[in-house]
Amino acid sequence: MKIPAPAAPETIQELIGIVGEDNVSASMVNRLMNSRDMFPVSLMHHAEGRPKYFADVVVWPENAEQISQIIKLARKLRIPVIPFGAGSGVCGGALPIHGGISLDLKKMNRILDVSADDLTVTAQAGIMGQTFEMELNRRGYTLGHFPSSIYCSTLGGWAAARSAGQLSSKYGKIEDIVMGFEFVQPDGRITQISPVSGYDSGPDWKQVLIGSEGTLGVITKLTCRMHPFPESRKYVAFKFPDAPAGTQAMRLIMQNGLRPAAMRLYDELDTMLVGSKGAEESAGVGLTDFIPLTQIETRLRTLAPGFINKAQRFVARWSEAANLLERLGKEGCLLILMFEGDEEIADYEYEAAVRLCEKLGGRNCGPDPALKWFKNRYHVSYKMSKVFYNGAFVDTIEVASTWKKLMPLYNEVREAIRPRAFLMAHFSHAYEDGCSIYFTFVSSAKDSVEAEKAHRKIWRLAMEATLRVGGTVSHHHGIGLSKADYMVEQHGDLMSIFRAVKDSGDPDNVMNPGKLGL
Amino acid sequence: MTSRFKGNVELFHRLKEIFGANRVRHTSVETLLYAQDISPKSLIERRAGKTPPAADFIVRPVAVEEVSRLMRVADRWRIPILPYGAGTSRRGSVAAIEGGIVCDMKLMNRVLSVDDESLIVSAQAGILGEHLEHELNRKGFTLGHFPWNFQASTLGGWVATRSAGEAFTKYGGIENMVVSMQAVLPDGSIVKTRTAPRSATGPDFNRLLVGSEGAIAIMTRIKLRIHIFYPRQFHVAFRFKKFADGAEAVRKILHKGLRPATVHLFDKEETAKFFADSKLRLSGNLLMAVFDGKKSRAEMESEVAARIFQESGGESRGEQPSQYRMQHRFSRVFRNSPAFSQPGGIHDAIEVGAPWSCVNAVYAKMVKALGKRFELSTFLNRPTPHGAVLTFTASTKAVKESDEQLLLKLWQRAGKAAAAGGGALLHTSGVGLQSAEAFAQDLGPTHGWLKDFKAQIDPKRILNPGKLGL
Repeated sequence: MKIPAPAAPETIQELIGIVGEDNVSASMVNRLMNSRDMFPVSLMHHAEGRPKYFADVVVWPENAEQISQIIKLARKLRIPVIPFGAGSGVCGGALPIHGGISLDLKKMNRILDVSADDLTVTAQAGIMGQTFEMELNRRGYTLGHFPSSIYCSTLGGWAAARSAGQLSSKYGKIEDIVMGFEFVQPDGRITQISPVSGYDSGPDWKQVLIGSEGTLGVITKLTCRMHPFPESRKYVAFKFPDAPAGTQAMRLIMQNGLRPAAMRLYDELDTMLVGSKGAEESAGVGLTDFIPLTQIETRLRTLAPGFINKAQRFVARWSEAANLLERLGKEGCLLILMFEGDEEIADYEYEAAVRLCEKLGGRNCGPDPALKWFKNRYHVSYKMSKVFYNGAFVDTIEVASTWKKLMPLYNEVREAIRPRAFLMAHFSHAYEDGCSIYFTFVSSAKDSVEAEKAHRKIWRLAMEATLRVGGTVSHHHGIGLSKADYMVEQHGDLMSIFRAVKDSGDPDNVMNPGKLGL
Repeated sequence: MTSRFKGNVELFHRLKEIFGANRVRHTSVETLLYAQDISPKSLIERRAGKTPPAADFIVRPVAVEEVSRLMRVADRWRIPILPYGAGTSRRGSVAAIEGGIVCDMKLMNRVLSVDDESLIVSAQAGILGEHLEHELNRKGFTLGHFPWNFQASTLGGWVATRSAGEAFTKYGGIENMVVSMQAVLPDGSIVKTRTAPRSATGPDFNRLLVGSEGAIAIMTRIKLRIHIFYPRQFHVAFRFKKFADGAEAVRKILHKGLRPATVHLFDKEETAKFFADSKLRLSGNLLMAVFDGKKSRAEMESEVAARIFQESGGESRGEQPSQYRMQHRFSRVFRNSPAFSQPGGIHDAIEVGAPWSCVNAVYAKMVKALGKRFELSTFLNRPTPHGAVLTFTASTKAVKESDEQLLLKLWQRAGKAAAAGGGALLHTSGVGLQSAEAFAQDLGPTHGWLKDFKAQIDPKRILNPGKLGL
């Protein structure tokens, strides 16, 4: 493995001049740490000791002024700048594919202002999600943004990658939560987008920067909506015969104006692995939330002991296992609901939702499955990586469509992938006009090189199916590197507008080059 | 100024090839009609007998392909195109300052489809807002967008100017309603944004086109989120001793999580003016809220709101004041215009956005700055849990200054007072020509970026030149 040289000594000196000696590092450890994210393929490369990309140098600016100077320097030297939060993106968005300066924002981590009257909070971009939420909780508020990466992602990263949290049906996605921000343009100029601009005119540059994944500038300080910490929580779960019946309930809940904080429907395979009684033997969450392989094995051992005994190597027979599981049991689909907030309103919404689900033929399973989900809701992100060894791999695909296209989308993606992987799904992030589907696939190949190929093929098939039906290729994981081709296929001629934004703002292509299909 | 395209026979023939003889107009009577808008500035000029700058041609497309071909012709001749809806801009958004071709979208006025499962309507950009809402109502749906010029504005105009309606609190602004659109770029290419409830695929391109005031693309078809229509509304009205007490009551219900469709808090001047012709005998600071949607929900929310208003020191005035306001909300705007057409005076509305912590300061400073020189009335509207909009209506007679000077003075004083109180002047009626400078200031360095972007996408400055400061 050839390791590229670090940044030139003169460059490092200039950077030290801007941010001070303590805030620059060209050490191997730091360069490596900031040259990976949670993109499964890059994880595989790192796990096997063959990382593909290296940042030249890492800097930790402490304010927007320093970032402005760093960007100006990078432009002068024509070297890339890659804004870096906590590196939990799953699409390779923060990988330094052309080397360059990794601009790590984690030292800009302060809460600057909390206004009780306005229910707004202003904080620096590098604050960690969980720290931010806990600070707000301590003061009696919540941000309402709970991506499962909350322990290892930053506020600025959320905005840059268009993040969505688990309770987004009530609190909105990051683009709804962020009211305004300060950012450094690719020309180094610092600009403010007013939090009052929710009422304002003209093209909305806030919505251009959000989701730009570091290609259009660096967000440094954000003003967000916050909410009083919920005084009440109500949990309930329902079992529906199949996915169409379950998604119909979700649709009508949203279209009747109810706003559950959490609403997730597990498809039949996923529900089966949860177990029918709130899952005593499992973590109480669906497989798409939690991926211990043993759980599939355990379930199969109970339902079809012969299959496991006969299997030479269990992981090689994913699709067979899935088909077998589906033949063996018809458990229906589990819908979990949680309402929170003001007690009067949460009570009203809870009761209205229960009435609606019962009317639609759902079987009330009580609060337990929903409670268990709530307790274990972050497990998935932190217990997955074990799967990445010996040619086995797991990944998730999150797509979305209008309600009308939702079942076709579900079916097409399933048909495309199932011959190649064990696949299950849940439906979450519902809207009045549509919903997202979160697929989890597990598969394996004889070695990691073959695994990488197989992994890419599965993505290609899933994305083609999505585009065919008319869904979006990403609901909330973003584009980064891994979905760049699909971004271009999705937007077609519209990419000319995006390129014009990029070329006019960053003619030297300094900001995070090579991402988002640019 | 005579346009360099006046009487250009070759261009005229080319346009007739695309649109047919009937849908290309060029007589001065017609071009003059399209040169009018209702901005205070242009009204002052008209009153003074000045002729506004007019376009050279008017075309009326019926299909997106025609718009695309028009762009190519404009590119060839380097002639401006002015996308045109119902002409109710208050900021010179479609003023033909460099001549050009008015592209009147009003023949593209059909509702194309209603997806009653996903609750999405697809309509052509030239449909009048009121027609769209009525057609939706007939099918059992509502869009929930009720801007002041509801009866004389088009869907395309709403989207182009990033319109906000009075039911903003519940339904959001037009930018929140747009799911996707079809638009024609200056090079003639027809593009579509993707239809999905939400995406993390880079920037939101819809939001780059919404508010672009015809300077980046011409929108031809728009898909919007709609809602189930419940005709029954629940009204409450409360009188407050102090304006600030009413504002505090509004903040409380929103922090609790209630979502009224509309909220208006009139100050005593506004109450006196609005209800002058009614038999309701109302006075003082009047807070009115309307709850709509599913009956059990709307009823529950209106009861909780009434309880909170009462606890905050309000005295109930029953349902009638709010019902009366609802019936007269649109006529009032147009009733103001004849008064304005009297020579020697001005009349304008100024909107200031303010976070809750600054609402009282903004109100006090604006009244102090404008209250003596202008006849002023104020209402709070479009509140969110985070702040609200204060709408100041100011009118006066000119004494020493000219009407133009007076209008300038009004805006300068308002701008200072709003900023001093912690608020920001809003360009609710669009930026157009007249707010371009303020808009550029608001955007700061980003306005330079927007200009460079415009130059990339429209290098010959064909689309609505001069608007948004571009």
